[in-house]
Amino acid sequence: MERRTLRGTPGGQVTGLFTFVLQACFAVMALLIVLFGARVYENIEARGEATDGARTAMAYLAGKVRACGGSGVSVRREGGFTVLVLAQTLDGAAYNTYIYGSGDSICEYFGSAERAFRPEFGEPILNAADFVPSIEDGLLTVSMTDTAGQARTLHLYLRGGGA
Amino acid sequence: MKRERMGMSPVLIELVIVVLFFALAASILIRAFAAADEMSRTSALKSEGMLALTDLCERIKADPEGFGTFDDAGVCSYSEQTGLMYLTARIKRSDTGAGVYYGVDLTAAKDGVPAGALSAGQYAGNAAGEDAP
Repeated sequence: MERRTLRGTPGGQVTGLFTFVLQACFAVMALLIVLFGARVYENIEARGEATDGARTAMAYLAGKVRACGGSGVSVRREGGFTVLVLAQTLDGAAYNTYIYGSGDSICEYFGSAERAFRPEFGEPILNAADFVPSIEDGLLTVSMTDTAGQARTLHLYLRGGGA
Repeated sequence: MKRERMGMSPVLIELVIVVLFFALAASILIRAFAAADEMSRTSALKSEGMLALTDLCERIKADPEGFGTFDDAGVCSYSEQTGLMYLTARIKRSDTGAGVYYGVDLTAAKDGVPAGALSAGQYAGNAAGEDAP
């Protein structure tokens, strides 16, 4: 009864308004914090994804070429694809790893060197478009467009010179 | 009247304390978010810088003599801009008994902010055309 009386007074209305403003302030700040945090998280995620995508593709290709050794690396035109061929010998038998671009993917096909290149057997290993390898003066150049749409170029010095 | 005001004040005080506590927590959160954003930016910058540096390093290894003229001390300085990344290279050539050694020091910067540094070295074949060990 006393409170009802208080709300009726001018002082009580100010107090009620102040309470409402405080609660509104609380709600707005909470919303802003959530929005700010979400934005930051979104930026971090996008940046991380772009960086990881580029690094993964580059590191995978570099690792493959390094593992093969420079002399076994060549670039050929086969089946309508420009193919990076990594030749290696396992237990006396020759095998080739074919890396080529197909659509928005980089595909890999591992098979006996005696068998013809079959692009339909390739497994997509990375998401990157416009995969174009070339070798000039012992320097392997691979250009591609990563998932973020950014053009990337990888240079690798082939100690064995490549073919 | 005095008793009525005294009855309302604890609610208000509680609200004010809650809002102040939330403001404090919000300021801590905002600082944490800002730090995380900055760390992410730095990480992306360093990653991009290292990619650019390793790429330039491979090109220098392929043709160390093709990046400018060497002075009397056997030092060649080279710089290039790839996108927003500014790369500098210092190639020092030294003749050893086993061949020619090229020491490469690379730095990357983006908008004046250091984005990484890399040092590498490579032996090239000696005058007799033999590969160094």
